[in-house]
Amino acid sequence: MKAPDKKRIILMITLTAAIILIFAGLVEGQASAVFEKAAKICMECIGIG
Amino acid sequence: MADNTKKRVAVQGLWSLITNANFKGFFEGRIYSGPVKQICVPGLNCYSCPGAVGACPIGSLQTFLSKMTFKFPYYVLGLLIFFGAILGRVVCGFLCPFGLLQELLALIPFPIKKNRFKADRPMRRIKYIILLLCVVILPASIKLTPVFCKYICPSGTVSGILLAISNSVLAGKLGRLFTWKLIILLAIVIGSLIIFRPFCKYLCPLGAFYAIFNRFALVRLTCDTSKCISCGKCSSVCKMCVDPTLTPDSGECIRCGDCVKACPEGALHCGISVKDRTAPENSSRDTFAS
Repeated sequence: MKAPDKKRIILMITLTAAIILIFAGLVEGQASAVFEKAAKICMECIGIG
Repeated sequence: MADNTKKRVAVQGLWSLITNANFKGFFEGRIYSGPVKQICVPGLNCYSCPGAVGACPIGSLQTFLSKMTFKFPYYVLGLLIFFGAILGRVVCGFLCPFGLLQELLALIPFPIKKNRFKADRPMRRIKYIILLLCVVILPASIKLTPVFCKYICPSGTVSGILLAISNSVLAGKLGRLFTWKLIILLAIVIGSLIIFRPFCKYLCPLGAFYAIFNRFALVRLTCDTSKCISCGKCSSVCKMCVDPTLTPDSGECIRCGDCVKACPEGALHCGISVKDRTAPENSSRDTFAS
């Protein structure tokens, strides 16, 4: 198998895995967990602790 | 400023404006808390920035890893892999507000400008250590502590400054930790006057993550070896110190396109890769392995 085909196959597998992970996370309600953290001021991030 | 840089800075600026469009937050000292905040942006953009309309992927990743009850971060990791697989480090070159800040600082005249030095190469590995240690291992071990965000992230420090300007309650709470983070930010600011994008080169865990994808991402740099005359112009203009003819897939390449513009033979191409070409066998110029 030629190198370019390998790279394309790796890309397709990676993209498929990424989409599966995103959907799994959405089903688990992880987008809301991200929102909970992101919607409040992160004291550690801004240097208050 | 070269035409290519102008165009890229314009894209970076526009993207930074879009992802930090909560303009009233800068005046009110408050952050946006609408529904868009559940989506991670591809670049390093603290979610506590008063303008931020999206979530920081590195901060979100640490939030999951540092939870008392471990939850595998499917969503954040999936988004990061998706961005990486499509764009690789194009994100660093075009879609990162902190990258833009460093590039603007690099334009300021300064007595010392040194982009190539001996320690540069080994120092590039620090970002991978930070990714593993401060983003994954330590937050997963020391629960409830996003180590990278708390002790290193300069984007968070900028957010702290912006919030403190218009929020006196927060300004009154800034203490030793803020001083420490401010020292890091100042070091990066001064470093950016001397070296091109020092944070991206040496410290950014997000850059380290996307570097893994540069080899096979959809958007790639390719070199047509049949056209290459090995003149070295591409590697001499590269501010990330990569030789695109030897390692077009290098994890250090931020796909800025300066080398493509510099090539007199049109041997380099940056875009959606449909064809892979090998590097010239007789070239011996020093470069970064991908």
